[in-house]
Amino acid sequence: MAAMSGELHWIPAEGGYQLALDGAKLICRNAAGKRLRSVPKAVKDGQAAEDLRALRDHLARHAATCLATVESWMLGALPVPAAVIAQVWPDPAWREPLSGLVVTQHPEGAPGLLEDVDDQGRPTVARRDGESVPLAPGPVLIPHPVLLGDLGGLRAFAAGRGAGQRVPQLDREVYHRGDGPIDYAGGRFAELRHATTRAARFGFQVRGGFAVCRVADGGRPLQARYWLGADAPDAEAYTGGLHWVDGHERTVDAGSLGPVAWSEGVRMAELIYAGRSTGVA
Amino acid sequence: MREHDDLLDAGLAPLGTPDGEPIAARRYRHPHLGERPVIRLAGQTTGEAEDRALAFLGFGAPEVSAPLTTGRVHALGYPAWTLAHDPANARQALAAVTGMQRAARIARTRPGVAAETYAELAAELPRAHLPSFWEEAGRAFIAAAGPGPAAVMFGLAREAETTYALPVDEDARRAVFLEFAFAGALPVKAIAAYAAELETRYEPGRAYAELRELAVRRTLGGLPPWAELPKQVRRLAKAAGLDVRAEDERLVATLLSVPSTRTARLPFWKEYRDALAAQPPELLREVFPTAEGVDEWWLGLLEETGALDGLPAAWLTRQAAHLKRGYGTRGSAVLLRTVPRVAARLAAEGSPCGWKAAATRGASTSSTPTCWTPAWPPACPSPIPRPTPGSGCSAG
Repeated sequence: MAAMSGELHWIPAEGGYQLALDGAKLICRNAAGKRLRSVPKAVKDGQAAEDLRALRDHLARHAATCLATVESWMLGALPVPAAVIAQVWPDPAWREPLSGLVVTQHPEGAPGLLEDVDDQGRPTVARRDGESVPLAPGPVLIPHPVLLGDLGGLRAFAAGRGAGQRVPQLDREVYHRGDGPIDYAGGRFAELRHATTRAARFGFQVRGGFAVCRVADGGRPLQARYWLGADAPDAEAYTGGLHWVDGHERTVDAGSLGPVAWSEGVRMAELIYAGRSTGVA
Repeated sequence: MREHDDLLDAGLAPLGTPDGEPIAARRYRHPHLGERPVIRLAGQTTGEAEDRALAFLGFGAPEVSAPLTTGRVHALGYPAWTLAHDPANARQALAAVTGMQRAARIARTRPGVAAETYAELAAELPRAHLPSFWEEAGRAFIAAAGPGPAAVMFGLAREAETTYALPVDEDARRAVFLEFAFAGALPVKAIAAYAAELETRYEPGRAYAELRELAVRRTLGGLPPWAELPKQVRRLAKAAGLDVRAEDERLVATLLSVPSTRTARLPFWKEYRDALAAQPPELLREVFPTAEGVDEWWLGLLEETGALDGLPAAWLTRQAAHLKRGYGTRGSAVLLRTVPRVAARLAAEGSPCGWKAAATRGASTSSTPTCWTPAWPPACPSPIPRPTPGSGCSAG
């Protein structure tokens, strides 16, 4: 949460001390303005500290929501009006996941990297020819990397501009059908919660015993599901298979899946399976 | 052409889309954050509740942009429910927001105090608000990883409906039930209470239909059918004067088509034995239930229904892999009986398979007969395990 513009805003606390948030950390200075190595207990238990912690926790939740929303725009192939991007841009919780993303305005259009909003309130992108151009009013698409041509060229271009991505797009793990067999069943976790926590850490919802990833492929809403288990959180668990369901939660034949649904499902299973307990049960 | 449904759900449909409300950017500032704004995308219905929630944290009133898109009207949650269903009493609901925030904040560290705070707030609210209010309290406990109190709050919501004979939107209520169930916050006991409530609220036919729908949706969502499901559903079917046997078979056929049914516990399978036996053998062969202790019982059922006659070699390989899953399953006497019966045919077809492993894994020396056809299969393909030394069967 480097979302505080780097500046510290000191607020008065008990006993003449002052408190501020440095990222997610509560910091304290005394009346003379000297930074203390730790927050005195009386101050830490006081109302000012409690207020700051509540604010910090809310900002963290807000930032997580913004990040998940931007990722869902990419995975759902959702057209986002340029005006929405321009309006949310001043908030770092939105700006950080958005900036550096490859966007297009037409499925066949030239991709560019989102970099700023100009003084007329238009989002601007850096094009591969080095030019910085404003987006036209209207929908903006954040393509899934599996749909981007010349991924290598785009990566090099982004790296050359020093543009990182908070929502992994150019460096996202991409899987193609036929890369090999997919078998993520039987992954052992000493405790179910190790698996569910790991899923949540990578941004996957855990619903009814499955890690779930929502995508759209060719306009069709789909869900990839990877079975983690629905027993007690501290019970030993073995993962089940990976499968996909449609908007009515009916299983979809893997042979009919488009490239995005395939790639995202396998990515989810791969990320979670990699954290299984090894060693003797 | 993309359906507007998706876009409405995502709050990104074009302005003027029917069945939605305009979404705007609300820009909030906070004295401790300097120039940094916090921006939320919200409709009018949730926007006002959002303002209250942020005011509790010290944010000022927002600067609201012109409408940008159209999104679904979110009547989910409290106080949003009131703004959609009882706008005349919205003020009371919004007045509760600060207290709800305070309670949610301590739901993890001091759940008892949080629950008391919710109870104090509830005492001040119109009765019709209580189900939605308690559900929202339950959500706070779900977010705080407290499934126990969340289930209690869910129960209080249902209790308010019964006590004050409030009208119920069954689709909305089922959605909340599933939301709590998928979050792991509803014990099986709560399902029994829910089933009992359906029975008192509706005439028997409706009560049965509602419980069946709930069971199917819960399974579609990924939770295995609970152990008492057969008895509970059957009781309501009987009360409704339906052909219980036929209803059993119909429900079992539906559930077997859903992957999570595989993980149901043993009592579920045993209770539905007759209905299962009536299903087509090809369907049964594809189930591979995973419950602890189910394997031999299940193979017995397959044998009895003839599902093991004429089975393909590949199935034995899959069954072998299935028995190998992580619960230390024993070898299978049923498979030991079956393999000699089908071996000649499979050998004639020249199909390689892992039948030896399936039949002998973990079986003790005394219960394992000698190998039937030492020349077949020529080799067991990986990853089928070789019989362990001492299993009485030399590896091919």
